[in-house]
Amino acid sequence: MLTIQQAQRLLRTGAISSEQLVLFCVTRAATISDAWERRIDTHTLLEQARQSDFRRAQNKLLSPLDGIPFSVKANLAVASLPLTAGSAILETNACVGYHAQVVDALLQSGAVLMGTTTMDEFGMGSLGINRPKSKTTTSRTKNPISGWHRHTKRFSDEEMIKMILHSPETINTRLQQDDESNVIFYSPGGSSSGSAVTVAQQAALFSLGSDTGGSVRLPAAWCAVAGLKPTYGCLSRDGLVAYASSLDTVGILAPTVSCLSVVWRELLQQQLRQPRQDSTLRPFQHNSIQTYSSASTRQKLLERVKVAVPTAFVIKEMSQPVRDNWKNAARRLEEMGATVDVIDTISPQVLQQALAAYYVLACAEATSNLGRYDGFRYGSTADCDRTNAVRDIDQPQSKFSLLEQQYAQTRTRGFGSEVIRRILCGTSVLSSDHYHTHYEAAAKLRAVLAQQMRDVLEQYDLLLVPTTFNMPPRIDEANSIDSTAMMANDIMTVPASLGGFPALSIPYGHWERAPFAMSMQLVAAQQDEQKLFRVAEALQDYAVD
Amino acid sequence: MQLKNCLRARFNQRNARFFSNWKVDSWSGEVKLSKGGPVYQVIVGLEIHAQLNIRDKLFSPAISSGMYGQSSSIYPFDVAVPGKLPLLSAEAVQKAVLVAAALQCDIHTTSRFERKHYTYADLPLSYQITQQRWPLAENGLLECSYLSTPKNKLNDGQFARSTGKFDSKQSICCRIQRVQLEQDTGKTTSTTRSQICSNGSTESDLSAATIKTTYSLVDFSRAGCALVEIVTAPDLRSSLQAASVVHSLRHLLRFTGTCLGRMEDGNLRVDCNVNLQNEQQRRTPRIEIKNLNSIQQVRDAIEYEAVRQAENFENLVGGVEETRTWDVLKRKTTLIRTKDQAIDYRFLPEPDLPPLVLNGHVLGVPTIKQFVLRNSPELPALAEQRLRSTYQLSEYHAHVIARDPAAIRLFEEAMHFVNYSSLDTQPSLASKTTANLLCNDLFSLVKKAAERQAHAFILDDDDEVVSMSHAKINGSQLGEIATMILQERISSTMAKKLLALLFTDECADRNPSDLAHDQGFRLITDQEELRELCRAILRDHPEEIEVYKRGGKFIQKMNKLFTGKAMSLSNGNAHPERLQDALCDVLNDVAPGIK
Repeated sequence: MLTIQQAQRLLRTGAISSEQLVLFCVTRAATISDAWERRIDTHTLLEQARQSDFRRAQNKLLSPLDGIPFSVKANLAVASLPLTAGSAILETNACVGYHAQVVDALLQSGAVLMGTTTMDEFGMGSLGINRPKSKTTTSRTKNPISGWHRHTKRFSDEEMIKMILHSPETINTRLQQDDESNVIFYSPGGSSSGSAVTVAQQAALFSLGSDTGGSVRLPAAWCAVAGLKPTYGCLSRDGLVAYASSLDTVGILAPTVSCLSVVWRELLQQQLRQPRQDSTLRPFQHNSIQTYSSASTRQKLLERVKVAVPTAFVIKEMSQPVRDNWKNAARRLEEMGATVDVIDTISPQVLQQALAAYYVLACAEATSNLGRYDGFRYGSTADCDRTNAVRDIDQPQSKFSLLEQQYAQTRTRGFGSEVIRRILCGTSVLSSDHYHTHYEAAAKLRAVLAQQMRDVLEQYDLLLVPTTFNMPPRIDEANSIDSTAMMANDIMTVPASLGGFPALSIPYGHWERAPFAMSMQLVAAQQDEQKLFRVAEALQDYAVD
Repeated sequence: MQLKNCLRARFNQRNARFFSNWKVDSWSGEVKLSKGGPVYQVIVGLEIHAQLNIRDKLFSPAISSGMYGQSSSIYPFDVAVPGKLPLLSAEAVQKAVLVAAALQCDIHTTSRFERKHYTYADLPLSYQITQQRWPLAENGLLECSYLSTPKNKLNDGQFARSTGKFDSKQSICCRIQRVQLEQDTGKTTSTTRSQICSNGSTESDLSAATIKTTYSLVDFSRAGCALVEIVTAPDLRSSLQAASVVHSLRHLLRFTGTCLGRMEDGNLRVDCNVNLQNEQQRRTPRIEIKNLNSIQQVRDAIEYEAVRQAENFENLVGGVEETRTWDVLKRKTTLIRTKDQAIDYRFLPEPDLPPLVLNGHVLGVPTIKQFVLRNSPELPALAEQRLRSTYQLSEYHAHVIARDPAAIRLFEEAMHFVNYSSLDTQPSLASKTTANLLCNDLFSLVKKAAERQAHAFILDDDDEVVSMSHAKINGSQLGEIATMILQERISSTMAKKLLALLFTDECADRNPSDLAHDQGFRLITDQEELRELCRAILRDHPEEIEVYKRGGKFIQKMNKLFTGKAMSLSNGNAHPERLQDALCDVLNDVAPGIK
C-alpha cells in the first residue's frame, strides 16, 4: 500500500508530482463510487495539486502533508459541500458554508481534499448499512476484501512510481486483480465505512472519521488499515455533526501507524494556531507531539513498556483463532522487550454492562442532538399538505397541532429506522420515569468503568485487546441481523470511548480460509497518544514481516 | 352601531372584575365576598427572566438584541447549524454573579449547565441550555418597601389606612430561591390572512369560501441571548407586594448595570405562581401565569386569578395545577395547559460545556468576593452620604446623583478635573456648580433623548432609562465646562448651550473650550470694558436718554432697553449682573440724579 511516507519520498525526489499523485487517487476513487457521499470535481483537485507542486518548486511547502490527498467522513463540515451526516433529513444541495476545524487545519496544511465519504446515518451503526432510504441497496459501501494481502503488500518505490504514472486502466486492473469476480459483498464496518474504504483502496492516503463507540476502529479493522480514536477532547469537535457529544471524537484512518502519527502531529500543531471553538477541548500538552527515538535492536525496542492484558475482555463469544491471535500479539510484545501481564482488576460484570450503559448514554444524547432536525432551518422538509393537515386538526381525535404534524412527517420521512429506534430509546431513558433507573445508572457505571481502567493505566502503559472478534458479515445477510446483535460488535471498542481514553487499531494476523485481516487494539492513558504510536508501530512492523 | 356594541362589550369585560361580588385587597391580599363570608389569602411566588445587558449572546459572539441602540445578529450556533458548539460568554457570567450578589445569594463556585428539552418552532436546538440541579446561586433575599404610585395613595392607600393594618413604610422581605443562567428563545409572531378558497366551494356554502390561514413567523435574533432567571420563594401575600418586588428588582438590575429592565421590550419578563389559602389552611391548586410584560399586568393578573380561584373554590370546582396566560385585551387569564399535559423536560447534563467554575479565568480576579467588591456599584444610601461629606453637596443633589451609578462616576470624574484645575474658589461652590450642570441641564438632555426613542414612552416605568450611562459627555468635558463657569469665562446660559452642542453627534468628542471659542462664547467681566460697551450704546441712542431723563417708570423701561442693546452688541457675551452695574455707573455719569 502507498503510505504517506512513501508518497512524501517520491514527491521530494521529484519522481512524481502532486498532480500525478492526485490523478492516481482520482482514478482509484472512480472505482469505488459507493464509498463517496460527495466528491470534489477533478478540475478543482488538479488545480490544488498544481498549486502544491508550485509551492514545492519554490521550497515553500506548508507542511509535510502538502499535496497529499485525503478524504473526510460525511459528518464533518466542508464549506463547499452539503453537510449530510449520511442522512436523508439533511439531504440538500445547499453548502454548509464553513469548514470543520479539523478539515480547515488540513487544508491549511496544503493537503488535498478528495471529497466526503459514506457513513451509517449520523454515525449510528457498525456495518455501514444504515443508509438513507432513497439510496438503493446496490449502492452500499463494500468491503475491499483481501485486506490482509493488500495490507502486507508493499510496493518498492520504483514499482509505485510506475504504477502512479500508468494509465487509469492499468492502475485499476493491477490493483483490482484480487477482487475480481466477486459476487458476495461484505460489510466494510461502520460507521466510518467510506473513510476506511477510500484509504484501503488508495483513493486517499488518509481519512478523517469520527469515533463515538468504535466507528473508526471497527471499519479500520475490517478493511485492514490503521485507525486512531484520540483522547476525548483532543481534536476540536467544531464542525462535527453531533451524535453523542460526550463520546464523539474525530478519528484518523490511514494505511499505517506512522501515517497516523504524521497526521496527528499536523492536526495538533494547526489547532494551536486556531481560536478555540469547542468548550470541551483540553489544554494542549506538549509531549503529545514529541517524536520518539527508535531503539537499535528489536529486543530493546519496547524496553520498560508495561502492557496489560485484561481478562475481562475475554468473552464467551470470542472464537479460538481470535484468542490465539491475541496471545500471539502479547508474545510479540514480550519479544520486543515489553513486560506483559494478565490482569483481572477490570471487573467482567462492569465490562458486560458497559455496552448497555454505552447505548443508554449514546441514545440519550442522540435524542437531544437530533431534536434540531425539524426541516425548518435546513435539510429536507416534508411537504405537509396544508389542507389535509387543517382537516385533521378539525377532527376532535387529532390532538396534534399543525406544527407537530409537520415535525412528525418530516422526521418520519427523513430519519432511517435505526436512527428512529435510538431517538425513541433516548427519549425513554431521559423521561422522568426512567431517568434514575436508566440514564443515571448508566452514568454511574461509566464512571466506575473509567475509574477501573484509569487505575490499570496508572500501573501499565497500555491495554492490549482485540478490536473485534468478528469477521465482516455479508451485506445481504447483514440486513437480517437484528439491531441488538449488531450492537454487540462494539463491546471491544466501547470501554475506551466511555473512559475517553485514546485507542488505536491495527491489522494483526488474519482469518484462515477468509481474505480478511484480524486486528489488535491498544488503549493508553488520556493524552498519551505518543505511547500508542510507538508500541503500535513496533507491533505492526512485526506483523508485516 | 357595530362599533358601539364592540366598545360596550370591551367595557363590560374590562370591568367584569369590579362588578364581581368578590373583593381583593391589593395591600393585604385578602379575598372575600363583599357581603362577608370566608376570607382567602393570596400566595404568590415569582419567576423573573431578565435579559443581561451585554454585547454577546450567552453562547456565541453574536450581538445580543438587548443592547441600547444596537441591532442584533445571528451566529450559526444560535440557529443550531449542525456541528457548531456553544462557547460561554465570560461577560454573561460576570453580570449574573453581580445579580446574585445584589440579591445576597450564596454563589456556588461550581455550577453546571443542562439541556431542557421541548419542541417548538422558536427553540432552534430543541432544547434550552439552562441550569437546573446545579444553579449559579441560591438562598438570596430581597428587601424592599411598598411601591408608591399616585393610584395607591388615592384609592388603596386610604383603604389601607382605614383598616390600620398596613403601613406603606413597612418593608417586604422576599426570599430568593435561585439565580441561574440560561438562553433566551426566538420570538414567534402570528398573523392571520384570509384567503378565498376557489376549489369546490359553492356560493351557498359561505363558510367554506374563505379560509383563514394563520401564519407564524419566527424571529431568531433574540435566540441565544443571555438571561438570568430569578426564582422567589412563595413569600408574597398580595398583588401589591408582588408588584413592589418586581419594581424593586428592576431598579436593582438597572442599578447594577446588568439589565435594561424594559418590560415592554420583553427584556424583563415575569411569571407568577398564584394560589389561595383559606382559614383552615387549605390551598387551591397552584396556577402559573406566564410572560407578564408590565408591573400593572402583574397586579391585574394576580387579582383576577385570586377572584377566579376563590369563585372556583366556593363553587366546589376542584381544578388542577395549570399554566395560564394573561390576555391584555380581555383582561383575563386563559388556559395554556393543565398539569396532566405538562411537558417532561427530560433534563440532560449539557455534554458540550464543562462545569462552570468561577475562577480568575472567568471573573478576571481570583475570588468571587474580590470580584463582587470590585464590580458592585455603591448602594444609593451609602453613595449619597459619601457625596455629601466629600463634596459638601446639598441633600437634593446628592440624592439625584446617588440614584444612578453612571451619574456618580460622571460627577466624580468631573470633580477630579475641576480640582485639578486648582481654582481658588470655594470647594463647595465648585461642586455645587458641577452638580447643577449635571442634575438640571444634563439630566434634561438625557431625558429628551430617551423620549425621542419611540419605545421610551412607558406608563408604569417611572425611573426609565434616564441614566447618565446614555450621556454622550465624559467627566472631563463636564468638568471643563464647570471650570469655565467658575473662572467666569462663560455664563451658565452658555454652559447650557455647550452641553446641548456636545450632545449632538457632530460635536460629541470636542473639547469644550475649543467649542466655546468657535461659538464665540467669551464672557466679558471686565468693568471698564462693560462700561465702554454701555457708553457706545448711549452714544447711539440720544433720544432714549431723553426719555430716560423723564424719570419714574421710564427708568426701568429704558434700563431694560439699554441692557438688551448692550447684550446684543456683545454677542451675548457680557456678564449679565456686571453689565447692570456698569450701565448704572454710566447712566449716573450721563444723567445724574434721575429718579
